[in-house]
Amino acid sequence: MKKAPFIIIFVSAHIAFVFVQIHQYSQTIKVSYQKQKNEKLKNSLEQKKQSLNNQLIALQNRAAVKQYAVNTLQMSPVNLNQIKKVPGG
Amino acid sequence: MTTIKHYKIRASIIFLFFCFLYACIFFRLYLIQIKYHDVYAHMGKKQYHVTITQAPPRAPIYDRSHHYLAVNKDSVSAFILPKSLENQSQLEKFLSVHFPQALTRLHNHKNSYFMYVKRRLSDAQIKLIGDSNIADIKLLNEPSRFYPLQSAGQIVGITDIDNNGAFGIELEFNAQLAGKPSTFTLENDARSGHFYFEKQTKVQGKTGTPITLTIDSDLQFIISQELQATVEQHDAKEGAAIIIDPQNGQILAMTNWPMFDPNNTDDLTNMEITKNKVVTEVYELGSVIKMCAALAALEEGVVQLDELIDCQNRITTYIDHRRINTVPVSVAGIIPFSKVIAKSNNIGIAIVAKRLGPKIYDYYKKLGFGQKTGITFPGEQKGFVNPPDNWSKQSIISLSYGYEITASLLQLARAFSIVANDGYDVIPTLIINTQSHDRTDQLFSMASIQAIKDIMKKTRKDIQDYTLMYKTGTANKLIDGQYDNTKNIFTCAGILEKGDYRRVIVVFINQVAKRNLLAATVAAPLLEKLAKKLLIHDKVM
Repeated sequence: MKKAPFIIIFVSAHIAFVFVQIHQYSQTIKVSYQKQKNEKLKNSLEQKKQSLNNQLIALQNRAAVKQYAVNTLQMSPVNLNQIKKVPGG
Repeated sequence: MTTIKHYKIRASIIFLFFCFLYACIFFRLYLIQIKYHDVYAHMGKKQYHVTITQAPPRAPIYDRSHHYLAVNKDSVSAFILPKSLENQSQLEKFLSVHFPQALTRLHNHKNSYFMYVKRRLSDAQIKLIGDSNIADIKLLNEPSRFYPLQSAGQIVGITDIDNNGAFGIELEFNAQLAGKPSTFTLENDARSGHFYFEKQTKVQGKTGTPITLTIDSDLQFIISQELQATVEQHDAKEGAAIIIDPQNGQILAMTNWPMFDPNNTDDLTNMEITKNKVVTEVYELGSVIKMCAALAALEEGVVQLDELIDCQNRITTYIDHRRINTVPVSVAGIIPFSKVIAKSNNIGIAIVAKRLGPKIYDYYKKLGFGQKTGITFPGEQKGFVNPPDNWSKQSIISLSYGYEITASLLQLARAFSIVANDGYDVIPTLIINTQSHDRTDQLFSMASIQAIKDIMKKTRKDIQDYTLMYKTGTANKLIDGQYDNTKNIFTCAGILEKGDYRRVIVVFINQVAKRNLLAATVAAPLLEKLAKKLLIHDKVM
């Protein structure tokens, strides 16, 4: 091979290689950025889930449920003789 | 000629000047690249690499049915950066009205970089700060805890401002619940903000491990409501109750009244109400201990169930020149030993205890008094049993009916659990352990256990086809070295059983308003109510 084309091919290949490297790095950063964004979203959704879960637990407060049952629904406490265990139940 | 000469001189000066300039640059490069290479490399690394430590979320605490007893929540804290305030006068005006303590701290630490205004803000305070539009006050989310069951507050405990366990299970298992933080190194530049190019884990942490308690939330709630009603009915100082499954030692409910709200501790000034007194307080429990003295006497063979004991038919008598009083309702003449306990006669039990001598101490120790029960709970008291070396002539008499012996309610429940568990030892526990335990040592013979159950059955109450047998105790409180018979503690310990179903219940009421009451009218009705509620709960569940 002649000297000039060889040098051109050699230099071009190296330049292409450098560009591929840069592209690969930028892709990695892009994916990493997307991953971090998703992680942030996941964390905020988890926080919302926890907050809703806490609200649900607070609504299940036994004292409030009892008060509602007695005052609003006019329910009265169960006596022992009102309860029968169904065999096999 | 002169012009050329001048030109050469000027060229030389410029050349030398540039040489000097290059020499300076090369010298500077030498300093940066070679001599101080490590310093600059470290400085660069510091700017590109940020090390952060991240604590894992604190693990939850569950009850036996996997209901939450402690769960995470985010709290909001407000902070300022005192060295870079935009509008100090506006901030100070706001703080002086709403957060005066923060203003004082600001004046004392004007040069600090960071200062909290207040941590764990209430919803109203968050709104107040939001509405004020003061740019200098910034909000920050911090982890904290939410406790769904108020009546379990004294067991579960709370976390402090930094979310570390302050007392109760939160304190005892702090390391397990908190886990271990991870340390990461992030590579970023000045423009990448919260995002990073690379993340390296320097220290791998560990997530916290949840804890499952033996407590049943529903039962705990029901028991605490009944306890509250009794305390209020008698205008008592305080009360406590515990329910144990004697076959495995699991504590199903353990409650104290008054209680505190673990979700609102800002105004908490009386730390006394945060104590789980079932475990952390000891008392002279009085006649309820007679059951233990009787068990010791039966096991030692110094008395028989039907043996007649002369209780002298009087309120006051003397044994070895030591005065003994018994309450008027317990006065009896010559009666069988079984009735001595049923009537709770102090004279009769003292006569039998005299036959036991120092061995009564060994039997009390065998029943777990004067030593810790083995429960994993902070601040457990071991109580005291007066050892024979310290005895006066009165000691054997006092020990037989519950004085010169201090015990926690948990220890009393354990002693009754041993009886309910056919004489086998019981280790009370609050933690559900998946590992199976072999049956422990049999401390008392079946004959003695059966005999003591027969005695207890004399005060039995049948609830449908379940048997509730119990023993009450009314003790005078020791105040300034003197027993005060106007201030009493009322205890009742019982066993509820039918076949394999067994439960031990202990209730305690401290210092009622009305005088001359007995545990039979204060504590026993509560025990019966709890037994009925327990059966309803267990049948429904």
